[in-house]
Amino acid sequence: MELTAPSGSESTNGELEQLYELLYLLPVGVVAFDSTGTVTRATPLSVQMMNPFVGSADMGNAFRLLAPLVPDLDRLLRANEGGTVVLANHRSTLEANDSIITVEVSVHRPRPGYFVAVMSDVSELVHREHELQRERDRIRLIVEMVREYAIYTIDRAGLIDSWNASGERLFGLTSTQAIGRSLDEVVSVEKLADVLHAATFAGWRRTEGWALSSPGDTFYTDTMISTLVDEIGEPEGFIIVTRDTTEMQRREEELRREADTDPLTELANRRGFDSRADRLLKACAVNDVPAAVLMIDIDHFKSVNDTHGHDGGDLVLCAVGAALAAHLRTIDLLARFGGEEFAVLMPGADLAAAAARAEVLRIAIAELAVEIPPDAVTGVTISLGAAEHHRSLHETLQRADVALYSAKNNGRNQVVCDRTQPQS
Amino acid sequence: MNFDDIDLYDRLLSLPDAQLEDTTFGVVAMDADHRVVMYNRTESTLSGLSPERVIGRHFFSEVAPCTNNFMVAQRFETESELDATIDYVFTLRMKPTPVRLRLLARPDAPRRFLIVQWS
Repeated sequence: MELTAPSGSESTNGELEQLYELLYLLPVGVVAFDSTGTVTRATPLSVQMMNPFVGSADMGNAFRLLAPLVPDLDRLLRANEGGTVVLANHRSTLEANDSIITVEVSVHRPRPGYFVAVMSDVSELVHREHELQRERDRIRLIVEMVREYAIYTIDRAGLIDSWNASGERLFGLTSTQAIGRSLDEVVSVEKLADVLHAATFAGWRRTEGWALSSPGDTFYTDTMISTLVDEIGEPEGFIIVTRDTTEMQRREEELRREADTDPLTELANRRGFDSRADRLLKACAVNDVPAAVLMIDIDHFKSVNDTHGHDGGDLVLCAVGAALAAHLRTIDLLARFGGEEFAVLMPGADLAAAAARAEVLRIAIAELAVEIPPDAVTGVTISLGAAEHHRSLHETLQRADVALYSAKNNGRNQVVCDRTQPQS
Repeated sequence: MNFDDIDLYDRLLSLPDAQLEDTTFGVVAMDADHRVVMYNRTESTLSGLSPERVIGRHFFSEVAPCTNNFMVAQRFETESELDATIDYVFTLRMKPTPVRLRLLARPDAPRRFLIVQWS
């Protein structure tokens, strides 16, 4: 090779120098060679990449230079006489001096007898692909292993394109049965279509509702929808996770009911009374009908306990509760407030109606005979205070309580009505 | 002055730059950070790069990335005292050329040298 610069103007020399510089710094290895393998030109990176694997003496011949990547390059050239691409994106992993590199090489034949090999160090890419693959495997495992969560995806057209084992458990269809079919044929979850539509714009949505499995079982679900987007950010489907929360729902309902119920009489307790009274009073206000409250207390209950013990006392409480309930409408809300005290909310009743009902209750209890094993029978009476609802539940209960207090003071076993005029 | 001279480093350090231009071997002088401070005519003719384009640049990463490896750059970086001769292949003007490289470094010296002898 000549060591003198090609003849030409200053600017041509300058341009040649720029060209050299570009090629010296080119971040890919490029090797030009003829059909005997003799290298005519090569960028520094091609030599640097192969340096740890090829002796200096072999660098001038492409077949030997590229042997660690393509051991049979000369045979390939002969076998591929006509083509312009001899080898496309061939990857090899090389190991030397504690470092592992992956090189991707392509060999082109721009014209007969002239070959160009292009080599790139794709170690970083391979590493990332590897990581991605590991992540993919990990996620696939999780998706298949996770129980109680049906995980499935749908494509742009709304067809199911993946379906996990829990999908089968929840909806009663195998992946073979589910994949390829449209979502609404397979998954029957309340409001799902609307929520999908909303998720298209929001990116994700969550919904709760009843679902129906293929064999016809209904169950309560919690569903999370996330939009999948393509390379340019356009929605290309959804990933949907549906969880069966029936049992959780049932347990919550049970807990709520337990919290609102007096365990002895199985009537509502104070908490249950308050939460349900609120709704009933709202309904009365909306319909413009009156409502009234009775406060009820068993007379001389302490002597029942003293005579018959606490178990006897409990029997009396239960019997009184049952008798009160038997003489009330189903719409009336009866609760045990604690001890021997009961309360009734009567929607639709004015003071007169409440007083009349209170009298019915008083007589019913007075006529009650409670059997206490082994052989005792006891009777009790109750005192009642009645008040019509005007402002707040709390205030009405207070007035009924004052009336009850009067009933007690007046000799018990009677009804006293609150006559306070509502103040505007 | 020859590539293999035992006292080559001392002579390179003692001679003025003008007398280093037309040697039979390429001379690249670098500072402690491996930035090029002198790039002689022989080396410039071989590589096709003028000294103006090279002076001040980091040699291993900005001028000759093909030497940025354990055989050359790493030795300069890890050995403060260095006088080693290795067989190497340079792609001067993109032509793979077997060369011998002499790597010269000393902690007290103002310059380090990469000497290039082509076969």
